[in-house]
Amino acid sequence: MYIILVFTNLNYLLADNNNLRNHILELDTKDFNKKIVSIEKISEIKTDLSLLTLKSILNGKLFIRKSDKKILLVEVIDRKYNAYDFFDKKELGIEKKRKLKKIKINNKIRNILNNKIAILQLSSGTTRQKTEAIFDIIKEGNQKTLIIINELLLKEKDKELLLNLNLAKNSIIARYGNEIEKIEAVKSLSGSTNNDIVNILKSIVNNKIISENIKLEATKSLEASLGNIKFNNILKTTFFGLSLGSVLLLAAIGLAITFGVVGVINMAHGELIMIGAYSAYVVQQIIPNNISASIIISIPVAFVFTGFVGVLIERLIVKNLYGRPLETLLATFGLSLILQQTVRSIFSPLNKTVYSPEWMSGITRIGGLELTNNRIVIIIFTLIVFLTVVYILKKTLFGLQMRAVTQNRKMASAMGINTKKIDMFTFAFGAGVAGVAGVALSQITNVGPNLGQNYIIDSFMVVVFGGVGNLFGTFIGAFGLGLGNKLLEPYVGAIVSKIFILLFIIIFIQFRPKGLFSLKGRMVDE
Amino acid sequence: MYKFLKLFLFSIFFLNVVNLKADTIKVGVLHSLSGTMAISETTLKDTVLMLIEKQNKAGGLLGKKLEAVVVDPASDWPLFAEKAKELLTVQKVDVVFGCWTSVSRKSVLPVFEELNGLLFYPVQYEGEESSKNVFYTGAAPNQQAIPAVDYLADQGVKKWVLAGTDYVYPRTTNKILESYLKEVLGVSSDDIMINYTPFGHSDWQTIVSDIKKFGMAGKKTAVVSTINGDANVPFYKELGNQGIKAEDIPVVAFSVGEEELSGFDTSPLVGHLAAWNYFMSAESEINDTFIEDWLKFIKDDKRVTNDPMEAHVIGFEMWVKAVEKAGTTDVDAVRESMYGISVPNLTGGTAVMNTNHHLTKPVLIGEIQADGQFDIVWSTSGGVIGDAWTDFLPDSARIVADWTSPIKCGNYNIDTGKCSGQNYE
Repeated sequence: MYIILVFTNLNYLLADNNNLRNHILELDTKDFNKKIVSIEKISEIKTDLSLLTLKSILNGKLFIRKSDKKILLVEVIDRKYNAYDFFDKKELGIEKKRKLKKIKINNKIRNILNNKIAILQLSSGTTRQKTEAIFDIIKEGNQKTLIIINELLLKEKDKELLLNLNLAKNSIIARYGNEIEKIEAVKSLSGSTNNDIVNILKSIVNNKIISENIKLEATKSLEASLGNIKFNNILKTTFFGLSLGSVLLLAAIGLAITFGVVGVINMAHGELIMIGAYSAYVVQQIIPNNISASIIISIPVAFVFTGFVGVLIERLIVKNLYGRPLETLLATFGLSLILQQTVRSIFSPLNKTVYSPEWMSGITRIGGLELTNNRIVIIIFTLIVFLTVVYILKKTLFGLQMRAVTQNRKMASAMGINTKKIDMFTFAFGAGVAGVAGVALSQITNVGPNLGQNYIIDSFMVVVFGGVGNLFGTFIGAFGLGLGNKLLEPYVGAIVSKIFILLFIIIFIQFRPKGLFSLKGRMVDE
Repeated sequence: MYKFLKLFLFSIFFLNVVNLKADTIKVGVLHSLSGTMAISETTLKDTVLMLIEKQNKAGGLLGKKLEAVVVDPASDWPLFAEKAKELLTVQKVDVVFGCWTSVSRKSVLPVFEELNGLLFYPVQYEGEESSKNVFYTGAAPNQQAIPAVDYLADQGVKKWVLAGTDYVYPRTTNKILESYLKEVLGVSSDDIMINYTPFGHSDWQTIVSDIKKFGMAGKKTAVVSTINGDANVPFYKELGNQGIKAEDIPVVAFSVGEEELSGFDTSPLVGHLAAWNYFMSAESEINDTFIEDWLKFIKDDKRVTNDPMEAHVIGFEMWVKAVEKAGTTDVDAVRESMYGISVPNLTGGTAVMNTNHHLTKPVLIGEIQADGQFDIVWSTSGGVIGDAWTDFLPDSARIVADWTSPIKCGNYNIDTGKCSGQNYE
């Protein structure tokens, strides 16, 4: 009896696998509509393999061997195709690419796959996967998914998930329930800033055949939602401004030190940032398996290496040109071109990939507000860098000597401070900070030979606007310009807002040539 | 004695010159190897060098060896004109392969026309041009932009964002697209959002969030991107960070190929699109061989191939065929024999050179994959004839280019029967 049971079970399994195999083979067509039909059928087969099938298709890992129509799972590593048998997972070694046929999908199919996987994953999956799945369901839920959601509502314990599940449930009822249910559902959706829910409410308001009662509630809910969205948008714009400001600040701190303290117009400042970014790349090449660690390690590495480059620049070029700003400007400009071309020769002119760690990708949801994680990290990082620099300047001996030299070089020298040495260290310190900025910028922009050029003008703008030699001014200047730029951008566009900012600075400098906060000291009078 | 020496020296000098002329056919390579455009153009220089090496191995051309003359215009537009002049007058090259940006092409155009040189231009561009001295082997707008929009419309897209960098190629392309969307597809102006950004724009937060707002209002939305070069990476990164997936709002790009994608992690971008005439993933014997040759030549098996490279391959092979047919490298003779010449393109079909100096080639749409390659999801059934003057701008619609008699003009108005503008005879 037992044997027969196992046997029939096995038989079922085999039949299912056969079925699955046939449907997968049907996917080998150029007609994407036919593929959709086959995928529907695959998702209806109740075996553990159907979820794996859908996932492998989505990730582009499902292949068919041309010669014997064998279905393979393929891991592509360094353009090598490591094949496994799809059904028994036996390793088949490396296959030639042209002997295989990939199951190709397009966006439409990707959408369908995501939805099918979401439904299958609602009951398994991690919390993050579940949340994503719920938001996918809000987009295209129907009565069928409602049954699944109701089951889950009974089982689920996580508070946030419960909240989202209820939202999904109501979004479905608002479309498919009876009149009384609909009114309740629409009421509960009030104020939600979720895009799909706003669209659902809009479609109810604009629907001509729906009863007035529901419409009235929907209009109320929609107004609350739109109000919340408006409020969120203001917060969002502020956030954008802060994050642009922090990037500007990061790029400008180093310059504020070299330009403000030593008085050197360093046109190669951008290239120092670039060198920092390349340090991050090199460190990541050395430890490719741990992205988080590589990014954190590359911060001190970039500081030391760029600082060392700073020492070389100071000793070989800048030292001989103190007090001759025009010559310094030309020399460092030439140097910036040399550095760019050097990087081009060593690393090739192509951009390099610096991978972002997991904790820097994705979105943090605060209420209805969606903030990107990488920007949050960069804002925090900038503040840490800024505070560290302030601490070093105000609380350490090196900082004290540096400030003394800035305020009155001769007097400082008379007090026994080696001003030449302080100049060198200050320049190196500024360069090192620029390198650290490079590591952060590698997370949001291209790591390529031109990286520095994009930031040099902005950095000078911030330093001049904030007041030369004043770190606090740089801080206010960076965030002021960042916020100003982002507040203007929605109204006038990216190009004009940049022009406005430049115009503003030109006018501002006319009235306050020394910037927002001018430095008080004897050197200034000289 | 002195007289004899002079004669001797002179004859050596003369012989040398003749020898040089007799021994090699000079091929000029005019691509930036430094400056901002080096990122894209260095690869094209290497491609031409590889093609020359291959041709020489196969016995050269007309019994002579080919010799590459490489100059570096350093991404500097006026320098392009100077270097072009140097190639044509000092080095006396027989043909030039070069340029990437439209401004660099516009800057060398007068030089090539004045000195009657021959330029093969391998990059997709905005059209509205046909010079007697230039063969355009990249895509015209009707071979890239228009089919891409058609494809998306077919996928149910109703709202459009045209995003571009602020210079001539995006401005012209978007003008053509806007008129095409309105006139042909009947899209209302409320459903079109146009946005320009400066070169190297790196802070995309506001624009991406605007696109999100514009695109999440119920109707299916797509972004048509003519964003250039370096600005793309931060743009795509911001898209990924703000959670815009290709299934929600697909972005189709005309300046993003395999090489641009090799600069970053593409896993958040899976499904975004690009329209080209060639993808590295194209399945054909000839493409496999080309990729193998390229990796061997460049000695780095991580490198990729891309569309402008294919354009150079086609252009080079066409030029070789035309020279063989004409029996000389004389520019006028070669030009005459270029018309109608066909060579296999790397995706499996054949490319044909038309009398308007543009190619007939197929259009492919690809979706970005996690490994930085594209999966081809759609292609035209046959080749598309490159149209120098677009049919979708009222001024250009009446203009044709045809360099054979009786028209013999790159800018011929079929209403007035007049040949006007650049380079008429």
